[in-house]
Amino acid sequence: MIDLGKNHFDLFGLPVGYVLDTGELAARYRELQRVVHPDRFANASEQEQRLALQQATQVNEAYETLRDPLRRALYMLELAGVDTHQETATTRDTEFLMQQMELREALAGVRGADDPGAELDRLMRDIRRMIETQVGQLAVQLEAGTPEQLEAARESVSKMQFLNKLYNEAESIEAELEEMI
Amino acid sequence: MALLQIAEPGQSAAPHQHRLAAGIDLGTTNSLVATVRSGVAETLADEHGEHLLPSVVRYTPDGVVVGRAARDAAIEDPHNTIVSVKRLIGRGVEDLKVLGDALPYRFVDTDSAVPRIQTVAGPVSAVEVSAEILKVLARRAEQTLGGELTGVVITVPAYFDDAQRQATKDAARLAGLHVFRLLNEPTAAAVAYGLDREADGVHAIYDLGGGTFDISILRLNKGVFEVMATGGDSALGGDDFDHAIAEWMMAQAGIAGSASAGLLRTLMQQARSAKEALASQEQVDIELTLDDGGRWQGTLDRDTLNRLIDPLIRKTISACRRTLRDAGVSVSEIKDVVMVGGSTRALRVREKVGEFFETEPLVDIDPDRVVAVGAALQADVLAGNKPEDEMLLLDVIPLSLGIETMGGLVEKIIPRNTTIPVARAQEFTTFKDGQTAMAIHVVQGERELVADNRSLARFELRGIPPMVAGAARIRVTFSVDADGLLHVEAEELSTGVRASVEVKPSYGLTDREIADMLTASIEHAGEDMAARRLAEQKVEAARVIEALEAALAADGAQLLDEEERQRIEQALQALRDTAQHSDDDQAIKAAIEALEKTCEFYVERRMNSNIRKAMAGHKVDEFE
Repeated sequence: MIDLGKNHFDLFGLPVGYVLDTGELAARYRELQRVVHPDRFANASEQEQRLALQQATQVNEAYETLRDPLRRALYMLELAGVDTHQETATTRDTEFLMQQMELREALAGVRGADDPGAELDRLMRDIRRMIETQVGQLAVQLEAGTPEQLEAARESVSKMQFLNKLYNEAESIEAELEEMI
Repeated sequence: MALLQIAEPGQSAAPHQHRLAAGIDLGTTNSLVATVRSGVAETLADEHGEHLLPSVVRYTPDGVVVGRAARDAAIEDPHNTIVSVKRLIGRGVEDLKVLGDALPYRFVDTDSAVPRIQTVAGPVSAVEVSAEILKVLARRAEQTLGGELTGVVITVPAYFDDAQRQATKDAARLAGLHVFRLLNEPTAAAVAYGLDREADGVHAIYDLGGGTFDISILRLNKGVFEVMATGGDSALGGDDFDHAIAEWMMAQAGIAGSASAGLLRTLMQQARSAKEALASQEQVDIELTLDDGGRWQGTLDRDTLNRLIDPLIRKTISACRRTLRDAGVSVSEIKDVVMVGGSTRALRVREKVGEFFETEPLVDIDPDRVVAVGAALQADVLAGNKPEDEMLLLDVIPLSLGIETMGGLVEKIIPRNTTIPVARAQEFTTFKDGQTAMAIHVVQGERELVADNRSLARFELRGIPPMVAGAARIRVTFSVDADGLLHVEAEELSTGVRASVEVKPSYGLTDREIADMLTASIEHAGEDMAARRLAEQKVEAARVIEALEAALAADGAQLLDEEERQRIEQALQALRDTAQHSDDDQAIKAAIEALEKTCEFYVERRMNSNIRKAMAGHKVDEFE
């Protein structure tokens, strides 16, 4: 059996924790790929090539998971045994849901604004700030790790999924506006 | 090779040999082969001193002609002379309709999903035509280097989809070449520039070839090339500039839509020379003999040319903008932009690209050769000739991969620009009570509707036990290897029923078709198939023996106890004996497999030990 550590953090020699130095993570990722990447085994036996492929795949998966704030949070919840499947992932925070609806309407109205570009920029900045707020809260909640805090983290994750989706929509509108120039 | 890297000098049982390897740029218009000699990567010339091999293949009753002579015959013999075959490779019959009626070939109706062109030498597929080009380049390399190639790196446009990559690999197989890796052209160009410059930072590679356009954004960090995003258009290139000019000529000459195949070729060649001339002069005079014997004369100036090609350049700039967004970087973060491909010689292209990226584009390496040079550098590393080299390329998939779900919609399983190799799984369920089979349709592309994407393959998972709708749990796993090739597997989780597919059929040749072509080509060349197979197995055995000896010398003492070591030595000796004395390729193959099985635990141990070593320094920092 190939031993890639107990979990994604362990693979990179990092302690389990939501707050991490992404530059350091990237550096370790590159070091690991230097060792396991199939290109290092272009001349080796098929067996070694197969193993290298598996390892490099897992190293990529671990890296993609840890470097993205949303996926990292989901992964940590999973490690803590919290169900994060989408059917249960909702938020009862009505204020947040109202805010989402308003943002969505504002996005829909961007094309008709006097200065669509500026209006979109403002909205995207707002959404980014809200995402950062969730990231900050997740750091606290996941660090605490109590059942109540984990439940709160699950809700933060749901909110972040809403916000990410909104941001992606904003990006498609941005692309559309740029094509019209 | 990896195993040799950690062998102490003098300990290695086998002397370190320089393995012959080459990089091949299989281009739409021209192809090149390059290799590293005395530490320098250079493209190789033919006996006339020509580096560029026109990617043109002519079939005659007396044999196959490749290159310049074939190109020169394109006008007189348009049906038997295949140009720009790269536009056809990995394409299905339906795709050809989209590519336009301008193709002068006669396609044969066959049962196969792969279109075949009727020639005097019989029907040929794009894979076979490409194999002819590869053979010529490989022969050139072997003659120059004086030995057989261990392996090659072949470049493909980053935007090539799975079918096009698979077909390229099939062509290499048909040409009798061992492919170390398919390498994306922009990444190859980055390697050619990066190694010269030691330029850490974010770079854009703008690659406009004859028939394809690629834009890649990548980060170079201490020898690791990490592709952040790639985009482009696999059916847009300098040929389209020529088309636009040719159409302008036809409109000017009043012959729109009524030219013969021969005249079309002449028009395209005239358009091409006019375009090239305008890179250094303000205007160019054009003369043409029409089908009715009449003549047409005209003048094309730069302003008119710019007006004709600006819409095409704008399409490439839009793709640049999208790709920057995918990479999550802004124009100001781009350190420089590298120009690749013959079509970037057009001054207007340089001007517009420079404007967009707000920097003077880099053109110091010949844009025609830069890709082959990069491929040669990578081939040299993969062959194991530079064990101390720290270069590593981390590439991405250019297009999202997904499967069809209810209502003709696509569920994406791996999004575009995910670093490869990658594996992702998704669970699906049945939608009818008692459903015992599930059709799985694999598609590639970014659109929401299946119909707007490229169909890669269809297969069925059968033998699902009858359950109520929604009770079965079917996990579909997509794995993409380091060549960017996809493998799909489906499994019903409660019963373990499995089905898997090498993604190939939709537009590719089947294994059977390739095997037949291979046999036919060998028979044609008068080779003995059995002798060839035996030679191949002996080479493979030598490779396995050498690698294992080096490994044992490096860390056998640390990782194996006495009994384990003896077991491995015995199996190793058995393979040495078989390889030396046997004339049976199957016996050698069996001995290789036996040795590999014996060594399995050792190989895994070595790999784990490598990972631990790589992270060892850090763990000490953190926990001690």
